[in-house]
Amino acid sequence: MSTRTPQLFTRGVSLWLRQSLYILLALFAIVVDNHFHQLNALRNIVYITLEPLQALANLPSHLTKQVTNLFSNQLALLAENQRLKLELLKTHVLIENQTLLDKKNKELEALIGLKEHGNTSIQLSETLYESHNPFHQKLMIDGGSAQGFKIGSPVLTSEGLIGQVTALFLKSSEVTLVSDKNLSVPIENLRTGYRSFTEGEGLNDLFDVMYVPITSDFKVGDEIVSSGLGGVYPTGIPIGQVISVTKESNSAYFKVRCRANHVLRSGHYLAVLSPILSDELSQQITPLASAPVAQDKKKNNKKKK
Amino acid sequence: MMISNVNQSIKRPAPMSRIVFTLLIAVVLTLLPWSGYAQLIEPNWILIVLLYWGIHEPRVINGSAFFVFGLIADVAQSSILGVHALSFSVVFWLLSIYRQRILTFYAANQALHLLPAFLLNQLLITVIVYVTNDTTPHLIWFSQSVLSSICWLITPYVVEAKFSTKNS
Repeated sequence: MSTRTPQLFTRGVSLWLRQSLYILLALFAIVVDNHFHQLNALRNIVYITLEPLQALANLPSHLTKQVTNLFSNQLALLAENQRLKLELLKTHVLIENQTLLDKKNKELEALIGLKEHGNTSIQLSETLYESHNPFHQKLMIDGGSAQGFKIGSPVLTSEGLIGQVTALFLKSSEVTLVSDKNLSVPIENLRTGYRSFTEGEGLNDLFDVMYVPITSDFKVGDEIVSSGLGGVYPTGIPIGQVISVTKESNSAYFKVRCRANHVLRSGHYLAVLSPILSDELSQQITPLASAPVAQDKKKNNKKKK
Repeated sequence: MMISNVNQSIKRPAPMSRIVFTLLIAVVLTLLPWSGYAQLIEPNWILIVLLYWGIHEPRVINGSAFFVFGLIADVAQSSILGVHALSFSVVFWLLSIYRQRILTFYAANQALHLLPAFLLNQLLITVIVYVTNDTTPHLIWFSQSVLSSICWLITPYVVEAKFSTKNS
């Protein structure tokens, strides 16, 4: 026992210094990562070392999926095949209709001199797992920078928009869902055409439509689709349905709660769209930014005269 | 090494491979695809194993190990880098002050004394996430600490399991 005391004492002095240094370092990392997003290289390095462990952790669910695939009923498969063929036929008809509309739309846009929208490419992917974080609504999906995914790419399922790619790794990427508190999507009420934007509730599959004045027309069951303003998300993609519209006392706005269309489970197929590039966006924005200045100059010149 | 033999005459210093292996298992458990409420109340495996080795092998699992595994936990949970590193560092600080006292207790007593450590870890994370992201967790999430300290009761048997079979 007597030998323990001096050892404790000598370690105790450096302990304060070392631990406060570690705490300061951690605080520094938090600030840098949160405000400047400059620690992605470090995150990538740690993630690469974690990847084999992640594969190991996903093994049980992968195996059960494989086994159920192996023993799935042939009749069920046939029925599904038939259903899919019918759906394909239906979508073919719709697409043919749409190509015609697209063509007409392009002609009309060319006629009135609107800019052409950037072509979006679609890449298919699959969900890997829900991210292990009680604070965020995030999803890890298959495919990353090696597949040409980019940060900001909108991610869709067959039911509609689910979110946006917010972190890229080599072979997987992280999607922040519409229900995450940090993600906002410009939206439109399909019935009335009222435009606003969303904010996630941070709870399962729920989000709010923000700043809806109490005079506006919002009803339970209204379809919410993306409005396409801001250029990140394409126009008219379904996101969710209004489940409650409540007026809070002393507030000029409704609280509009919506449920997202998608259901979070692993094994869903996803479509990752390519985002509109920032230089493309800036090209669209610059003429607008320069126009008012020119007008002001004219006004000034007139005043001088 | 003589020092630890005074207290636990049977135990020999744990081999490095065991420490690394158990920590890797803890990381894999964290990475398992939990979802819904299971994800909320999932015990903090990494912290449990870190604390165990931090108490029993303080020369191997020191402040640096807590910091590095904090960073790993951050990446595994895809949270802001440094959140777990900070909370783990604070927990280690407390642990190294109370380590000698905790070593003298039985497992149940240890679990009771480590419950505040688990809670402090969660509280720190909650505060940091609230300040940076303005999000608060589900209240059920705090039961994670209770589950973690219940898991502490069986941790010695699990972590040292192969130990006895190897030597006997």
